Amino acid sequence: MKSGTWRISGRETSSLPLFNTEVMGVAARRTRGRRFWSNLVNGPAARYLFILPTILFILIFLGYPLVQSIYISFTDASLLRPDVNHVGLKNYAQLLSDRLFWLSLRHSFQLTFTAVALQAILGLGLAVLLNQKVPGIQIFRNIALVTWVIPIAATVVLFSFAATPEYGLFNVLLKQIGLGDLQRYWFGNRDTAMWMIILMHVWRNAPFYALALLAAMQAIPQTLYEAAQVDGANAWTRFWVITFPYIRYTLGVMIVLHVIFTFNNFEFVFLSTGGGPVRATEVLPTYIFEQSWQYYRLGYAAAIGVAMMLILLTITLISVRLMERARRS
Amino acid sequence: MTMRKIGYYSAVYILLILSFAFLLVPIIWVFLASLTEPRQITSGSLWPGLRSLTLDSYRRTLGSADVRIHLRNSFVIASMTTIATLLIATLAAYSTSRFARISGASITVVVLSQMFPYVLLMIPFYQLALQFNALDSYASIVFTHVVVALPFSFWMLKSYFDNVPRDLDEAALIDGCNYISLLYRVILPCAAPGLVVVAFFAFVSSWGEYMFASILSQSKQTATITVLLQGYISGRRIEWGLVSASTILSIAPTVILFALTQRWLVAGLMSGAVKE
Repeated sequence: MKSGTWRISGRETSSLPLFNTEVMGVAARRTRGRRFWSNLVNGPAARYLFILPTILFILIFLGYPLVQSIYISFTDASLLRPDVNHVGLKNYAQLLSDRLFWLSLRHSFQLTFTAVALQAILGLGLAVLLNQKVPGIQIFRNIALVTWVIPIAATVVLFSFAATPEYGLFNVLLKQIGLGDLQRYWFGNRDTAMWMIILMHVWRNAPFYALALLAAMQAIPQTLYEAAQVDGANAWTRFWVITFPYIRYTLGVMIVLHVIFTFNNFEFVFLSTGGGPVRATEVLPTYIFEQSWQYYRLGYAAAIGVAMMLILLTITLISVRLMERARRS
Repeated sequence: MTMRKIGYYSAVYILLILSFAFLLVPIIWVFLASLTEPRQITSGSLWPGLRSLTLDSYRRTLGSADVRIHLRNSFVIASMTTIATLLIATLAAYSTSRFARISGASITVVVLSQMFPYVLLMIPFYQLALQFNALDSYASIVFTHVVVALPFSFWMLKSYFDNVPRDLDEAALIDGCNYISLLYRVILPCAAPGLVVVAFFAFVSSWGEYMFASILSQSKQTATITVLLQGYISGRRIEWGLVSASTILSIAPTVILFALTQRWLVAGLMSGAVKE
């Protein structure tokens, strides 16, 4: 920036000497202290002063732990011993031959893929439904997000209660329709526990997709639909030719956000099954928890975490590329 | 009304009722259980009958000092988190929206911060709290909750500030505003709905957070309601009367706030989440 010009709201100008105390008013000139303060809140430094708390926060609470995690993933750090030795890539080598790591990774992928796919499909369906112009539809739009706002711990209680044998909702309903043989504790069964966790993810987040997609649908010009109707396109064609191209980008963003959320989520699994029964629902976050809080193997836990991050980063970068390409075409 | 139209309406309503039954019945079921005599809960009937409806579970739950303390802790922590998040996110969003040309970098940081497995943060946060002698204090839990809420709050708020026309800034600066009065006289009033949405988001995410609260709170002096719920459901014998009532008590504030901020919420959350 040249001296004598100021950048205001992105435009350079020389006609507005705003930071000159001469035009700052009488108050600023009254005392030296005041002038210092005035320079602080008006001068160029202020622009960056405002963002300082956030930068500090992120550096201390996210940046530092991130760098530290990467660092200790190359060591044998443990809460049981004070000394820390560099072990190079040993933790990562161990990762490759750790059966439980691969099992957790597979479960994480299964959970993320299934939950996100179901959320996207059901969310899209719900969005179409909420976009219908029938009396009272606003009430449904208003309450749809309720599953998303309640605490995850409460959601786990709701579903644990529903899955309880004998008097839980699922089992009572099964009995009512004559399928009493199927009654069980749905979280305690190796075949159904993962589906319960998927169900909780879908229940919580599908409405979020629906409202995001609904917002995107409502931004589509109505004239497009009228023109299509004149041309004789039926509802199905109208959806794929007009609606879908308009909401594709929003859908993509929702999917990426929820892949990250689901893959990293610790609370749903930890609070409902703790990774059991017999590790049937062990996912990477619960495996990291076990390694760090039960075996105190910080180095190894960090290596799992770094691997997780690399996997997520790869998935995200690929999907962002794909979305950009789709948008350009 | 034509037959076609009647068919369309009934199809829409049937699908709406089915999908909202899926969303609401688990909540209603526990709500009913919380109003039922504890002995009746385990009877296995779909509808307990009017005569076994009672407020006993709530009387017992709210009568227990434990539950009251945990609810109070959650309120204090969530409120402090909300204030701190609003303050920090406002300044950051203001700066990046108006002056600091680091939008590109800031979105990268926001996305990266979401990608970091938070379960890995438990140990560094625990150690940090230990070093500062802040274990079992509100402050340590509030700090971690701000970390969780900040990236998304910042991003949402920035999109609101970006929508306030720049012409207003220039007019205000010529009229003698400085950078701080510009913020609270012009930009904040224009972006008030954004503040409501971010406050809601910060409150709800702190209120519902379990992971960090569970390791940083060492006693019931700071443990939140989610930690209490976890304690209730991990026991061998679960008292469903108590559990259902405290679950409803943990849900109620979020639903009430949701109803109050509803008007701005959906648009706000979506603009934050979907904006490029």
